[in-house]
Amino acid sequence: MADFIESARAILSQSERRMEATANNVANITTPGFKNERLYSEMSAGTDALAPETLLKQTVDFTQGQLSKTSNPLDLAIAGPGMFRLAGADGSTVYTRSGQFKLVDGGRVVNAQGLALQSADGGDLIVANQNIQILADGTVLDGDRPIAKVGVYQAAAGAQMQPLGGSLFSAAEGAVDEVAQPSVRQGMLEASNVALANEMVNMMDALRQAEGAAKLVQTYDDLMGKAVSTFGQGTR
Amino acid sequence: MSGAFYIGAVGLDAQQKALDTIANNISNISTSGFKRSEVRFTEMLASQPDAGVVGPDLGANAVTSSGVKADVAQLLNSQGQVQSTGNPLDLAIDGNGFIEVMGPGGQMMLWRGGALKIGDQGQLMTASGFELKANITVPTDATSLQIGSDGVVHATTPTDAAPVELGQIMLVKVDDPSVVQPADQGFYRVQDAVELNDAKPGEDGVGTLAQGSLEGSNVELNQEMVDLLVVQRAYAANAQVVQAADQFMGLANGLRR
Repeated sequence: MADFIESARAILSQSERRMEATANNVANITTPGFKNERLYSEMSAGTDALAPETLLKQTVDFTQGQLSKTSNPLDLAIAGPGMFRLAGADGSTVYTRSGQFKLVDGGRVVNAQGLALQSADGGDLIVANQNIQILADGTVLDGDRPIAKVGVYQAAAGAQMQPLGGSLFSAAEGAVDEVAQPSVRQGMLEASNVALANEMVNMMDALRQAEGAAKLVQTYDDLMGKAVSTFGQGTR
Repeated sequence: MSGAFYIGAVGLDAQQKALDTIANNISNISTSGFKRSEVRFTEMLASQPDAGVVGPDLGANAVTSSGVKADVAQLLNSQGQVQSTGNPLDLAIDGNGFIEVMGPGGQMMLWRGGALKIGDQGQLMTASGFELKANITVPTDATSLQIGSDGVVHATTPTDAAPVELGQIMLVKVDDPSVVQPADQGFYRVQDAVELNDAKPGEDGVGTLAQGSLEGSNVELNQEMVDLLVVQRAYAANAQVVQAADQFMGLANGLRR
């Protein structure tokens, strides 16, 4: 009987997690380059009562978002596969499709979190001013002179990008390849690929799941109450 | 506490900020020299477990999402339309530069141009009374004032045959818009530590000056209206999330009868 209440508790906490994931997707419905995060559960092996909540897996939906024009020359979007490479805060390398960059002192191009965009030859991308032109293959032109190239990378065959939150992804060393023919669009942003209708359905689903679990708990409580009163009378 | 509650609230807050920004853009649509602001959404950096702490493998729980962050960025380097007014004391900048003026406490402020006036002692100042850093004094008997596209100021006086050169208005360029903060009446405050380099109008991409013109705002109503609709719907969606999280907590409270 204890397993029964454990299962109900696990279902409740699982639906809470699903609701959180939905909440985060909805909150980021206007965040450029945001990729929809989905949770799915796998069948429990059966013996482990704690399993249901730990078996929630997270995947990221990499569907292309709509590209829209902006008036900022340092807004970059990628049409098709690939991600920008950024220098993480602790010297690590992270990847993103969110291309809202700005110029800071020293000509570095950083995103809203202050992480510097990396060039294809490694190292921070340094540009002299905002009036640069970025071609589809990532080449950065200052006037007519190519000065650098924005690196665009994708996971190597068989490898996967790991979501870090914050629209950032990480990949194991050597598990990324440079995209052969990237399509970088300057002055454009990729919209978030969250579909509101899906999220609302997911939220209703999670709520009903929680209601079901609550019913289980109440049934359990009823049964226990009945057991206590019935057997309690017998001993009198 | 349910995370969905908090994330929904953060989402509401971000959309509220976006709404404020759009409202400000639209209300300044006919303010000359106004630069529209834009809200830039980024997903909030999620909390990650400390690598040094060995804990149970939580699978999907390893990374927890925490909502959205909205930053407001001003699009300083986007040109508004330069419209001719015919008033010789109107000045517009066609390009990315700014005119330096002396603020009330003598500190440097930046200006995108607008109406000028001539002070009591003949000094050239903005209509709101801030002197230009170029420190130009117009002779009291001047009959007309010419500001060239290169910033050189000439005055015609009855006593001199040829126009007299009074000085040159220089422009500065701001590459990182986050070092300036908008102040009242189209002025911008500069952070103390930032050094901005002068350039002659027409050089270094600072643009040229246009006398007798004003720069219109760079707000496009169509875009603001579309943004407004998106914000409205996104706000409502976040409100739904908060409501659902509330229902969920009600459910948890109802477990024990």
